[in-house]
Amino acid sequence: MEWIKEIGRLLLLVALQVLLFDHLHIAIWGFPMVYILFLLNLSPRLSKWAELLIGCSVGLLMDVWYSSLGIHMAACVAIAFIRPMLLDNMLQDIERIKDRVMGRTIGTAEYAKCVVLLTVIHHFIVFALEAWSWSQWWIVLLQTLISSTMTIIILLGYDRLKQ
Amino acid sequence: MKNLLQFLTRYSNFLIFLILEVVAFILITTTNHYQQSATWSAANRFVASIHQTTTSISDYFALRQENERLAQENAALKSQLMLVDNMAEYAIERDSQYIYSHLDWDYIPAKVIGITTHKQHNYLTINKGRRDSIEVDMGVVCQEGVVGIVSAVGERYALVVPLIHTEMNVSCRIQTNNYIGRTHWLGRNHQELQLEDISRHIVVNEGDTIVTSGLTPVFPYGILVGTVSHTDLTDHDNYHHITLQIATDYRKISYVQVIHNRALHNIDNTENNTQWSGLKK
Repeated sequence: MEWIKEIGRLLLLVALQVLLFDHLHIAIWGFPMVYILFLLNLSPRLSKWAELLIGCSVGLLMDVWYSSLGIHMAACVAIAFIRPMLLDNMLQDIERIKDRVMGRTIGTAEYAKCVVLLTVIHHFIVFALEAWSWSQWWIVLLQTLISSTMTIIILLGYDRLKQ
Repeated sequence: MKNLLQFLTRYSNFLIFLILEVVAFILITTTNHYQQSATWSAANRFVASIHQTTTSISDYFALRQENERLAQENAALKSQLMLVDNMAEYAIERDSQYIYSHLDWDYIPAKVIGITTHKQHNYLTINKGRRDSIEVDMGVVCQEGVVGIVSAVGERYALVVPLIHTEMNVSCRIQTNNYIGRTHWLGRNHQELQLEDISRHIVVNEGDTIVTSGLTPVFPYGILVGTVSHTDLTDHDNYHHITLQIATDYRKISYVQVIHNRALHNIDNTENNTQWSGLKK
């Protein structure tokens, strides 16, 4: 049952991303990628290899949609790899948390730190790989900055509503 | 052996991570942006059908504008039709200067069901595919001017690389003096394009019309690409820095025509047949 619920959640997030957030972009600068919420919220009880494979599949799913094979996959695998280490580092009693990783379960400040760091990493990888050259580095950095800000505001706003 | 196994189990997660990242990089580097795989892109039937549904919803909100645009297009076409009779002879004479003349082109109408304008690598999805005889490398135009080139073809849908894609170049010329250059997109503004390879001795004015060159088999001669909006030439430049205003507005685009070069097929067939008879011998 748990599985079906999670898949439903993923589909809902992807639908929201493509039907709503894809249209909220500000020229080439701001492009919120809210679908990463699925990866950020995964339960810490999940084994690391499973998290990596889930990250890979979610990334591929988005890549097929955006016709950018490999880009979102690389970014999602990266945050799926970093997230368990980050949580281990921030929380001493990680075993306590059985549910999803959210502000309610791990504390608002910790959750916010987690969201900010992982969002920036994910967005930076996506924009850097999309540009595929460092000659226009300031565009990549500006895109990362503006898009991450949009995504973070949406994600933390949603978390606030859930509390 | 035992040590190796120990090492593998200890770092198994890191190894999975590395393998997945390497796979991602291989996918990025081997996917040719001009010839994409239809299965792994928005030319995929499932993805495209979602695109189609979302566009059909948003189309309702643009109906009024679209009607107006169609009425204008209708009027323009009617007036052109009246001119055609008188122009036909002149047109044949003029077009025969170029290798690919207008008379050899088929136009296949299609609807744009998905487009991005905010990325470095933008794409359009259209609702015609292999079964409508769309093929990779066909040109795509709309009423306003050049749109792009087909890069992947699925059974019912196709993916088009527009002018606003950082790796897209289209051969074109300045209409007034026929000098040839090529377009290049810097990846920032979806209304602006750079025109490259125009040497400094050539006179370029703001407002000059830039059209397709007719030198490649993708587009016929004379399809509007844009107009010169800004030129820049410092003392040590060998080439003009020319900025174009793109004729096509990618934010509003909804109907396009895929152009099919009949002459190219004839040329291909002729070449193939000759080779074949040569082999039989």
